Amino acid sequence: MKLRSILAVLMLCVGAVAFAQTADKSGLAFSASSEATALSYGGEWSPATHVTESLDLIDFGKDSASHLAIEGHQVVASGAGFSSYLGGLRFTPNVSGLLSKTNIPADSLGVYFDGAIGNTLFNAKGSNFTSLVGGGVQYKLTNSLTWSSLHANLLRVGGKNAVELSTGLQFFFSK
Amino acid sequence: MTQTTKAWLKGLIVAVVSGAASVGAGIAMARTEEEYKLILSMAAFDAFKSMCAYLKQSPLPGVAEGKQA
Repeated sequence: MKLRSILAVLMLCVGAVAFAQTADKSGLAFSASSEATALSYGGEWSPATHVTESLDLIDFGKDSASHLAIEGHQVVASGAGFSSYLGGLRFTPNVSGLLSKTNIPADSLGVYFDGAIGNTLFNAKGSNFTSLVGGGVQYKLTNSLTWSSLHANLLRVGGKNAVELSTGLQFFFSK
Repeated sequence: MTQTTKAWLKGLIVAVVSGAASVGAGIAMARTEEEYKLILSMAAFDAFKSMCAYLKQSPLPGVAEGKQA
């Protein structure tokens, strides 16, 4: 019963779709994404929302895909009774060299690592310093569809660890 | 003043304006210290998102555009 409830809420989270439409010199670009996030805090799993915004800061060389970005995180874990706001860095290494030795197309896999610090506000009152470490893997299925296979984060909130897992789909279209 | 500095300054102005708008919209509803902290945190995040959106539209010199992290 409990598992069914969690799955039902996760499906509702999947229904939260974000759309963005931008116009540039080459025409129109469209993207939509859907993501489900589950967070374990104090031994209990509950649904959560995690919004990340990042901005590329440093590109390591012209031909390298490695880059460093600044990022902000908003983690709202209603079930666990807190929301966290963090700022930090995201490092995306160039893995095309490694992939060239495999059958995986060089531009189809992306890996990144996150590190951030910030503050957590509890619904019941009080706030705590919070840190986040994590990472993710993205696999591009086609030119217009990217599957974000898995994001995993470990948050240290109020002296306790919170584990966060999320998975989702991203669609891209441009003309 | 370099192009990078100008871009960052414009981005910061966008962030401040956006953050101020968020605080203004939410501050009237806050009654407790926790609610004020929550509103300020949300406003700071909104401001950061606005700055990123602005700087992505006019990429910083030397930083490649269009990368999906």
